[in-house]
Amino acid sequence: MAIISLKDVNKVYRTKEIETLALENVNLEIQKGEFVSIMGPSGCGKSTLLNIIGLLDVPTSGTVTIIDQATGNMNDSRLSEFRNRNIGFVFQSFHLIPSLNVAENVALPLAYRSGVSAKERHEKVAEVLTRLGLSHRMRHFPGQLSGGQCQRVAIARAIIGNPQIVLADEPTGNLDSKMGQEVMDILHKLNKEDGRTIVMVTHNESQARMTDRIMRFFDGRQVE
Amino acid sequence: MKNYLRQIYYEMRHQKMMTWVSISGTALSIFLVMSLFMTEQVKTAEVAPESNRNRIMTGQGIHVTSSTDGDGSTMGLNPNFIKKVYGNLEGVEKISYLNVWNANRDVNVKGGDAYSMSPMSVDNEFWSIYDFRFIDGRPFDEAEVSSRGKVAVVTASAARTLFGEEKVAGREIDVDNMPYRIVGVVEDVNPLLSQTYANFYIPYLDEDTQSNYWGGSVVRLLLKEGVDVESVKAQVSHRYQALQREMDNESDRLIYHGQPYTAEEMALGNFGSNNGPEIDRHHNMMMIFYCVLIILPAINLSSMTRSRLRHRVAEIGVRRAFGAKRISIVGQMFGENLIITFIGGAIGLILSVAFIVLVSHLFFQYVGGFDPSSLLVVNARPTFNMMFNWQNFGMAMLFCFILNLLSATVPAWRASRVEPAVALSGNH
Repeated sequence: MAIISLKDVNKVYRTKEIETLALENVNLEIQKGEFVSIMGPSGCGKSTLLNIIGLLDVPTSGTVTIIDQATGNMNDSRLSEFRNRNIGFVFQSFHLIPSLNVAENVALPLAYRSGVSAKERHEKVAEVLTRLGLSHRMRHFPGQLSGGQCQRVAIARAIIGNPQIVLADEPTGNLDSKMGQEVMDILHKLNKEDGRTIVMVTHNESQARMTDRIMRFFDGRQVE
Repeated sequence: MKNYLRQIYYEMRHQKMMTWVSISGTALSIFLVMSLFMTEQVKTAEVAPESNRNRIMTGQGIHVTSSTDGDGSTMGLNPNFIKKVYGNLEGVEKISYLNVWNANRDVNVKGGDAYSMSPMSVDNEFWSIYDFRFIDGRPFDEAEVSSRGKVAVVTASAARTLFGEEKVAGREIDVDNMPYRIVGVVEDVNPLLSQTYANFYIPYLDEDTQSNYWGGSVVRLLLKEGVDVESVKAQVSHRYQALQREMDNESDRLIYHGQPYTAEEMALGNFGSNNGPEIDRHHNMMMIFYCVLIILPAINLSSMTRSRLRHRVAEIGVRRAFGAKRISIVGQMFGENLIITFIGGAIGLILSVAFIVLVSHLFFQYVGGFDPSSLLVVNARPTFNMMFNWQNFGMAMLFCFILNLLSATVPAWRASRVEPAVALSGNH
């Protein structure tokens, strides 16, 4: 059963002078519990695709269905709520909020979810950070952590809301190989143990080969 | 709230220049507005002995045009005129007569040095309209006023100057070589309280004259609680018309200028007898000042807020990605900015109070119309009670809120409109 489905998706960026076709007629399905890699050279539309799947961007044409819900007619408020409940993000540059400590960064998705008490939030934060081996860093700020620790915090933030889908945009791109491997191990664990669907953009061929499926893109088109 | 404060602390450390310029700009704006506001407040604040200031109205001056002599006017009223126009008005609790001419007099103890002191000639009701604090003795009574008794009430500083002590009830002074017996000593009155400031008080002395209106008196009316000043003015206006009808066989015409005047109207200064105080114009001018003082800094602060938010576009993108709605982003930016505005506002408020207390006597001296050359002008500084009340505080907070609304709403709204993908890409 497809948890992510894109049909005839096109994305065109327009300026006054130029039109750029970022995605051309993309059709894809990702099954529930799959770990999929998206590969391709820079500028081929990988991140655009991930943004569209993550409902951070809208296609110029085509339909996007996530967890059996057509997203084309959702307004901004509904999209925010849908993202909050169903999708977690891991970014290459971590995107932790520097003024918030680790616990507060991790708790961010729950802060925007109604019906979660402060006590419940604290408990979930402690649980997720313990799982990722960061419980001793709860009160630290991002500036006090290593790159690998930052990415683990970012993963904790991505999964605290228990989303079915985790989207990772080059999650090891800013890490050395050892830390990168640690992060990959965590992502595989989330996929195998929790059954989360993971879509990862990567340039790393060996990491991609460890996933269930590789989708390759070139000039906005899916080539494999 | 904790996160808002932490964010502001973070910005103070990492965007020092812009955050401090925002706080300073807000402080300066609130300082200017509150200084202006408190300067106005001093003119109408209810402080002893003028604790009923906003219930007291003043009848003074009369404008008469004569077909034979042309225009004429006076600042003093005849007691007959006062009785006809201001006597037994509905809503008036008490009425007090005062002499209008209060030039400084030479005062001395027999055989001692003479001091130039500011007098006030008042009737016995004066003491019940205003709440003077007696250190010694008592006010003069109706019998002493009607018998034109040579009695006086002096202020504490006058008593100290003349006798070297304050408990001097029963002792004698000479006023322009005329002996007066001191019946009471009151605490000093701040010279900014222009309705009551004097160094000594003697009984009201005005004679009925042959004229219908000319004289040497002013009248103070204490209104009952809750009485609308406009209703009193309307009654006086009708009395003017009635008096004019009585005078129809004369060539004079009475011109009504909105008497009696409120404390705020009186504070507009010496507008003479031929003009009334233009209180609406004054209010409009002040409103324009306030608006300029709020809008101009708001425009600058808005640019500052926009710059500060530009550094946080990626953060906004992250928040949006994890489920923040646009309204949440606007609310957060607004809340954070509100705290910055209130920090600036608090600094501005403190600065304005300090400024008024420490420096303002330089330009307040002439507001009250007292004689600054008098030896006994001791303390013309407005007191804290004259300037500060909860209404002032509320106004300051309101100005802060308006400033924040004007300076933060547009940048926050624009920040919330940035698409999450664009915000996260750093291409904004």
